[in-house]
Amino acid sequence: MLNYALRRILYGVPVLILSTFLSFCFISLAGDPRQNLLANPNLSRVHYHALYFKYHLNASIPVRYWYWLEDVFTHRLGRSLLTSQPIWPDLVRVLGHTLQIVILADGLALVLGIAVGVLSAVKQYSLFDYVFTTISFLGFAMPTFWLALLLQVLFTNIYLRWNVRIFYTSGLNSGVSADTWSLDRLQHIALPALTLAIISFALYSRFVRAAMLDVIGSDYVRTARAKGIPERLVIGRHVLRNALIPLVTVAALNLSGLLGGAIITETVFSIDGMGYYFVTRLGQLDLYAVMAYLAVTAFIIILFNLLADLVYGLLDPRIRYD
Amino acid sequence: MHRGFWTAAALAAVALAVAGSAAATGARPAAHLGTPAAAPFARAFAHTPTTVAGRKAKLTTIWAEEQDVNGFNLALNCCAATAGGWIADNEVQHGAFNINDKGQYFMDLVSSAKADLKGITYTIRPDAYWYDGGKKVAVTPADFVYTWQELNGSIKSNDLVSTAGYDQIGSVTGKGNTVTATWKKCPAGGPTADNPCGFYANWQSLFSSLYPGFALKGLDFNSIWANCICDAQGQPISNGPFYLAAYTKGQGTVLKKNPFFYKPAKLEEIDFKLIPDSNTEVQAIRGGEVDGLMSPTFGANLAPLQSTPGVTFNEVPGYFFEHLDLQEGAKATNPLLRAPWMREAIMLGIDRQGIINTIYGPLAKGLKPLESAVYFATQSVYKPDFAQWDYNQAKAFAILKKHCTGGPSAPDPNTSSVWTCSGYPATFQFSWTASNPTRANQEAIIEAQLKSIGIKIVATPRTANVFFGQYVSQGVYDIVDFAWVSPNGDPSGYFEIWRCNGNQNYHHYCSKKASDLMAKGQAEPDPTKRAADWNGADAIMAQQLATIPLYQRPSPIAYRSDLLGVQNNPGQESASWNVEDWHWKS
Repeated sequence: MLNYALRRILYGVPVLILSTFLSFCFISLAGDPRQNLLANPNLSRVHYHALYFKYHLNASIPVRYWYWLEDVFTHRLGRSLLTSQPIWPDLVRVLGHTLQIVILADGLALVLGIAVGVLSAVKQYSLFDYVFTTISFLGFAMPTFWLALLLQVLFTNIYLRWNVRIFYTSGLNSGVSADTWSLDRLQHIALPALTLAIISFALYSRFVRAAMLDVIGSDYVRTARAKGIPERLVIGRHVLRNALIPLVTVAALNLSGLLGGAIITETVFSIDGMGYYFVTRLGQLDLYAVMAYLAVTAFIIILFNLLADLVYGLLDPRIRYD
Repeated sequence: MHRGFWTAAALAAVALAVAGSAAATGARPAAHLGTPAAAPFARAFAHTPTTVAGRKAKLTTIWAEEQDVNGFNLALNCCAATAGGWIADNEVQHGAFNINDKGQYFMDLVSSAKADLKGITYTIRPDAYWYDGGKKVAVTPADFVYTWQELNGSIKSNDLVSTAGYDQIGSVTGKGNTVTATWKKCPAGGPTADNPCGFYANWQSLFSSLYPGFALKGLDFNSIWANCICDAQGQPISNGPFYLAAYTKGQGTVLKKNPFFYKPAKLEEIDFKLIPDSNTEVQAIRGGEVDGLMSPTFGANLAPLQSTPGVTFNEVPGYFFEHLDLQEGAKATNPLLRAPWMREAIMLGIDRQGIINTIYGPLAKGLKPLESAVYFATQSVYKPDFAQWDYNQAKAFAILKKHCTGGPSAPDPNTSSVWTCSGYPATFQFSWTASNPTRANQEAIIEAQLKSIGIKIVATPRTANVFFGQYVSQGVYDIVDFAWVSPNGDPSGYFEIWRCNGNQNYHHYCSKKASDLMAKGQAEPDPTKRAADWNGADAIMAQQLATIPLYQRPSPIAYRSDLLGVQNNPGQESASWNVEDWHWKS
């Protein structure tokens, strides 16, 4: 397995290089970030031209990519093209915020999704099954921005009507503080986490239900029942454990996707996270900041893909790594 | 196997949570180079009450603001964002003059100031002090000297956004409380772009943000104040009504009362919370999460705030010159725009008041078309020179009928006929920043209005990153819609825009007479004569239709009605110009 893991890591390197190079080309071709500066009546011509050389904007794209690559290793992803500030501290900060929300959202979605999926499968075609199937499809179908706005307005109105503060609708803290884990922070990240959780819940519950139904019909489950093992144990020990194996892959890939940033959710709730970081930097055509984001995101996705494969092998003895 | 896996999964989840927790501690001191020790700020956590009543009791308020900053040294290219002023610098870094709610300069840290053709003489107020980490230090001429030395462009490594005005000063000296800045003597040929010299007409803008020379001397100007407004030891420093007690990247600032300001603030603390989305801002003030919105993005989504109980919504016409430029240079796709009568027909055919009413709806509130290219309607010296071209469809149609053939027989909103004039069709490309919905709507209205008199507009939106760089600044357009933003309403910034061959005269308009008048105004110390020079130039530009002014974009604020003393400002300060007067209704 170690060989397999090492081989996968080595495969990941060219994938990472190729994906960052293509991203670099596309973003570079989207326009010249210096040009926005021309709208500033106070900009000195000297400074305007100096930018060319400072950021190697006079060089060809492959050469600039090489400079960027150099910066990635020597200066921890380099500095912002527009602000000259180091990118790494900003990325670490926003990744941390996104991580908090994603862990909460995915944890919630997994617990609820597994519970509902199991019950739906066990009580197939019951009222419970129909109700949660409908809810799951609603979760799939609802546009994120709409759901987020709905929750925002709902909890604002609850406060206005009953003067009860359940959740906040903006930012990470009341006022401006660096408190990371507190009730106040939880009240702030609850709504974005709930928004993401509802969507992930729909995915997980449908997936678990289908996997459970697959396993419930297996011969070894029938055998277990025939041996007189109580139904609770059959479901818990034999069906659920096996049904959860493929969920690991889905959850790992979903988590890596969310870590890239829930762009809409973070924008609606004004969360200083990965998604919002990407959108603002892309809007400003801050090439190096956008590249840093894409490189980190690509790395996370490759890493989680690898982890999913490795864990799948660990859980399912039928999988062998060559 | 399974038990081992779930244990590992639990450990991984805990590790992720811890990593998230560690990384999410946004207030860790930034370790990047040259920043004076910022740790004291990072540790200065705010314990702001979460309810309005609690904030009232603690004389505290929280305001929302949409943009984060890249640093607090607003003189640098990295950091010259209006947002930086709102969330800290306007309250912390004061200087010789400030701008009030009428957009007029008033003396701030100086008790007298006089400018003439030789230079400027300031007298520093006897009660002007710096707050330096709790110590009281007098504002001295040395601060003026340091500010001038850093901002005049002589230190080539300083990455300044502008040296305007400071580069026309030859020396700054001080004696006691008196500061004397002397203009550079001009050579026989007068000032040039490479050798700015002589009188600077917008002199009141100079030294409006003083730097504490005693505290910053020896530090790299490019690296100071990246995440604080502080001295070399990281202690907060201020000569305004508040000092910056804490800044959390991505979240906002905490400002605390400066006890040494000559007019002590009535509040103890103001927090600015970053809420980038204006819809979320609206919910935040409705739900009592914040007490005010500092200059939110102007749009119809703000309309509900006009009728929200307990909230005051205020808008003033800001110093935003929303206008259309008509290309008279060689790169226009249609040379017809060089003909004065065609420009007249276009302006007469556009119902600017109709655009304002449609775009801003219930938020338009008496907003009128702008009738000057050099002053704003809210300034006392404003003259409505362009009013002669107010919407008159019949007149526009008559002009086209006189010079062209093949158009409609009468103004008709459904016509598809387009005039042909001197062999060219009356068809023009119209560009704007594609991501701007307000301008997209403006284009649609103008297209419909001009269509009805036989002028065809071809919508050509451009993405923001190429709009200015590849089209506007290169003069590659027929008609463009954008805004010039003025920090203080002074016309001096228009010199390079309207004069012949000006650095930013992208539309290639040229009137020697108007250029001479503007140059005279640039060197005129008498405000009345100066306004007459600029208005003289404006009258010529209006006559020749150098541009089509549309309107002053409104600058909005919203705040809880029981927060008193808040006054909006048409300039870049918005409501932050008089924070020392803000107070809760008792």
